Amino acid sequence: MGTGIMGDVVLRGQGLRKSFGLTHALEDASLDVVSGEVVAVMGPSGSGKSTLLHCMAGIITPDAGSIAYKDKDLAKMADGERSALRRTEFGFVFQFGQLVPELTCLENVALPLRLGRTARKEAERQATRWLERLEVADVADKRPGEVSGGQGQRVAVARALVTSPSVVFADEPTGALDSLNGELVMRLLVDAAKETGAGVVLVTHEARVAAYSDREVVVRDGRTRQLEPA
Amino acid sequence: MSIPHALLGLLESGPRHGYDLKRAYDERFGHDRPLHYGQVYSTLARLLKNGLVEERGIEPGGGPERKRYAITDAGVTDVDSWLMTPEKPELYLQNTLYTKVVLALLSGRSAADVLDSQRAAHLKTMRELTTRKRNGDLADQLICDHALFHLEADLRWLEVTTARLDELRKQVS
Amino acid sequence: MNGWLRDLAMGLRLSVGGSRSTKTGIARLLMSTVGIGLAVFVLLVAVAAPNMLHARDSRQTGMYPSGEKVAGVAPTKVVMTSTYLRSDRIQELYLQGTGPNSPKPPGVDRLPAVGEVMVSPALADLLAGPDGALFAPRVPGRVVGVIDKSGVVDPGEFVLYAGANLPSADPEDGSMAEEVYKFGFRTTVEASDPRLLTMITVGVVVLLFPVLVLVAVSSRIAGAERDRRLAALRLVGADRRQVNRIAAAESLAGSGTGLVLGIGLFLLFRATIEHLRMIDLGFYTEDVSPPWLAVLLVILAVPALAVGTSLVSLRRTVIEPLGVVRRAPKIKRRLWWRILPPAAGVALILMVGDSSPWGLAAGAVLLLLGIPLLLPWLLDRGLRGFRGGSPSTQLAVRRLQLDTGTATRVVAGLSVVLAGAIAIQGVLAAEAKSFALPEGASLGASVPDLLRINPDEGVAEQAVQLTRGVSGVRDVAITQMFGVQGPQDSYYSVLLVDCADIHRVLAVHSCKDGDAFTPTGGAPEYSGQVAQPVDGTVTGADHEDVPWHVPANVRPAPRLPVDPNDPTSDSYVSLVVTPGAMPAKRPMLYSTVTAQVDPASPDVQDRVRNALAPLQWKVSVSRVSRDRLSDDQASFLVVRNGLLGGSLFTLLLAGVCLLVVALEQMRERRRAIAALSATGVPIRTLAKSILIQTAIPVAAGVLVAVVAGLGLSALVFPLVREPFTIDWGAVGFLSGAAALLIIAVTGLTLPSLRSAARLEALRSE
Repeated sequence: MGTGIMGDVVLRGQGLRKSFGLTHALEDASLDVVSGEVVAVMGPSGSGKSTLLHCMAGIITPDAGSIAYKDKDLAKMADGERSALRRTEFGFVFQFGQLVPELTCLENVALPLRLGRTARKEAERQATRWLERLEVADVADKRPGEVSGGQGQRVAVARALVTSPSVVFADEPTGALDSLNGELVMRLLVDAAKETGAGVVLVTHEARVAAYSDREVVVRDGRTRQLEPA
Repeated sequence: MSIPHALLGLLESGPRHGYDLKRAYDERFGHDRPLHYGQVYSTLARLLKNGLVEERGIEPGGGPERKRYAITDAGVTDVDSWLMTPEKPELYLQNTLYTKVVLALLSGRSAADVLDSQRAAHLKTMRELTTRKRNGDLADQLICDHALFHLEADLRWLEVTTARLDELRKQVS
Repeated sequence: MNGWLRDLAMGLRLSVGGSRSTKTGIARLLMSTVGIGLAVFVLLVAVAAPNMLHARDSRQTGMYPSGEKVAGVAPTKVVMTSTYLRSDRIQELYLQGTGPNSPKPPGVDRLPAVGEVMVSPALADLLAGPDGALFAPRVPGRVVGVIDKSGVVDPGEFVLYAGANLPSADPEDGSMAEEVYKFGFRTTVEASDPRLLTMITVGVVVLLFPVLVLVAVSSRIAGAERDRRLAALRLVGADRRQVNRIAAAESLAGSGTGLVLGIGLFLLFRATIEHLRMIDLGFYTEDVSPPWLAVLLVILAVPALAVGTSLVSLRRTVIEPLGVVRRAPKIKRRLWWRILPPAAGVALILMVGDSSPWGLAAGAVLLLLGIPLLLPWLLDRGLRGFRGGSPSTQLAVRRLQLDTGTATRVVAGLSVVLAGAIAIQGVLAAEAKSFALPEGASLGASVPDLLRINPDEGVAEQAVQLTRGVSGVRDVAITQMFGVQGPQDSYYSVLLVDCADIHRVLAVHSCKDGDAFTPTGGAPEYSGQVAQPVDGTVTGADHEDVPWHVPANVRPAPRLPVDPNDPTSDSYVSLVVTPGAMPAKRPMLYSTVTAQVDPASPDVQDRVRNALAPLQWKVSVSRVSRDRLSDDQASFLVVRNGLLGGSLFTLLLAGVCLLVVALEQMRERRRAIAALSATGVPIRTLAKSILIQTAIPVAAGVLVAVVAGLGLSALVFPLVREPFTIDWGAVGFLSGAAALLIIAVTGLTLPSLRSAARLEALRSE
């Protein structure tokens, strides 16, 4: 298994199993997230990639298997603990619609810090830095409805990274964007994650997006398959 | 890639020495494969014969490298019609990969493994192209993208084929 | 024109079928139906009210006996009295014609002869029913007829006409009989009490306003969904005007069902009105006949209003083929014109309120209308530039900054109602003071444990005898009093008691006949109001004035700590005398027979009344219960409870509206909520933001309502010469109810918040 040259495994899911009613979303899935590494999770739609991401992120609890974050088992944590973990250690980028429509972009980015009791001024200072880093400082005072899709996603990336998370979960982050904007978002996301040493779980069905990864895991019928280049 | 047309196109901006022409070509199109001098001169000779280029003032010292070439009206027309004629979309019906998959199925080997290793190889190339693209200039990006989109199309074919292997197995056996 | 009709038809079809599959569609149609239905109903009742009141008024004045002599008419002698069956009041008229053309009371074609009785339909039913036996002994004769509607003011009223041999009606000698030359007289409408008029006008506004708000809000329900639907129409080629017409038709559909519901409610109201009693008014079905023009106006105006608000709401959104663009740059709300109506209202009250009740009412209405104008400005102003606060506050405030409109409209309606209620409460609270409402008084049926019997002169002993024999009666006592007319209109009562009974009234050690006492210590209820006994005149038994001298041997004696039920304690008794201290010429005595009854004995009151039936009009029985309430006090409580109930109802309506708004926002934000919750934002934070989001406008609304309501009553009080009082109880009650409402609305949005926070919403497509 590819622990690679990057760093340590920060998040390790093993033997994950999850059903929704009669649907077996995950049969036997495993995934390692290594700090500083981008791992692409690919597979046909309905294969269970999003479920795998949600399990790994502690949004849902798997029926079986273990998820270890720095030696702590997510499956054994209380809901509140998992929420706190997600808030402080993980970052999320979804396909669209994740920004709070009535807050400005700056406030959206500052929100996770504010929830962690950082003072408003300080939170907004850090948020501004991240907006600059993602080249969207000019939309700081606009509301999400007033910016383009690509700008919105970059704001979302800024929000995911503002807490300096160990793991960033990106679920089809470019799914609603055209190729150029999608690639810009990917470039900025990958660069920023590498810089902070965060591990990135990138769920996508686009090979060109997956090409930004360091490693690929394919999910088929709820099973993961690590592909080693020949 | 049609080298004669590329050279003709480069000559449209003004007469050049053969050496200039090679440099200009390499700079713009030659990332994968720079031209050999010989290739340049043989091509120019053919174009000259066909009346698409003409020689312009030989500088003292002689030798082919001292010649300047200019495009003729016929040459311009030729570039025109080349640019405007669409490339024939190539159909890879007898693609090697397809052959490999069918052979694997027929021989009872794992066709999925064949596809997956191809997939890994494809993605590896795509990663390299992406890295190159990210560090290169606009020309690099466009060229890499072209390759990437093709590879992506292949990869999609790999995916779809993987999903339909069972069906295919029934048909070939 | 043809195209217009096509667009309208399309809109109608969309509103019915467009979103049938979704719960929202049904909820939307239901809400607008109920909203508009209520509005139509209230308006129809409002336009019917003048006719109703007029019809009832003319029945009532038709019954007024006129003692003014009419030449050539032999008067009818009349004694008006009443009795109770359990707690139902029965109006009794004893009648005796003195000639062939003696006037008849309305509703009958002849006067009952002695031994004949005519009853109102309700009383006839009662006599035929299970309670008939309890009342039968009191029917002074044979029932020979039923009184027609024109003689019965309210449908459920119990009226009894009885023929009797009545004493001569000499107004001078205190006889209960009077001579009537005519029943019914036209009165010019009495100059309305400004206080009453203000209260009524304010009441109507208070009632109508939330209904209008409801109509407006109901047409905005599920607005986002409607906008998407209209956007889809734009995509297939409808132009902006067509879309407007289609939208208008959609709200027209809700108006249509609402109209049907409203008219249905009104017809139901009309059909059942004879069984309803509102405060103290009863009406016949045929009283409820609003003028057709007004009905037509209502039927046209309500849908017009609904369509109008829906079009106005569209004005701020531009529906494009690919979606909806809300006009982001908000109009800056300006203060100056918003302040005009309330300022004009205050000015009107201060300048002409004194002289013109209409001015006062108009001023009050203008002041109240200022609320929905000022509230949005206040909220805007208060929230502008707000950036800080905890994340949940920030979320809530930002949401409000983006769209204060809907929430504010709802709250403004609520605010008007509360302000009106508080103002009316204030006036009522002052009334309550003058009614000396006992602490904790309620309208519960109270069981009497004491009956007071006021017999006519000469039948006191007989009344005592008749009462003694009734089972359930424990003790019967007789009290005799007379009044002394002192100088300068002063008046006091003298209680005549045997030495044997004096211990029931005063704490005296010794008593011999001829003693007289001035009670000291005062009765708790009337302390400070007892006059010093002075010399004066009394009316003698022969109706001649007799001089009265305070006995020389009068001495003070402390009153006993009184049982509030003791009849001697609630009189303005300034002097207690024994029979020996009475002058030779005896004054006319007012006797009160008091019967202690066992409250547990069923219908003891009615048995006593039945036992006294032979005395007919010569005796009246009243109940004294521990927490006794006068009729005035009772109707005050009815009005007060009605007001509070109405306020609660509007609060509830506002709550429903706020809930709809909140749920709709939730639906629009599903993805954002799910994403936030995935990111680790606790539901608590989100719930708190909804709480704050609801609380801010409601709190602002309540605050404005309290200020406006108190301000209004402060303005009105000096005009009606009442000391300004604040009914903090009512203010507290309404504010508390508003707080509860906020919590309830938030609580009800929680399930939908929870479901939004689940990850289903995250699944892309």
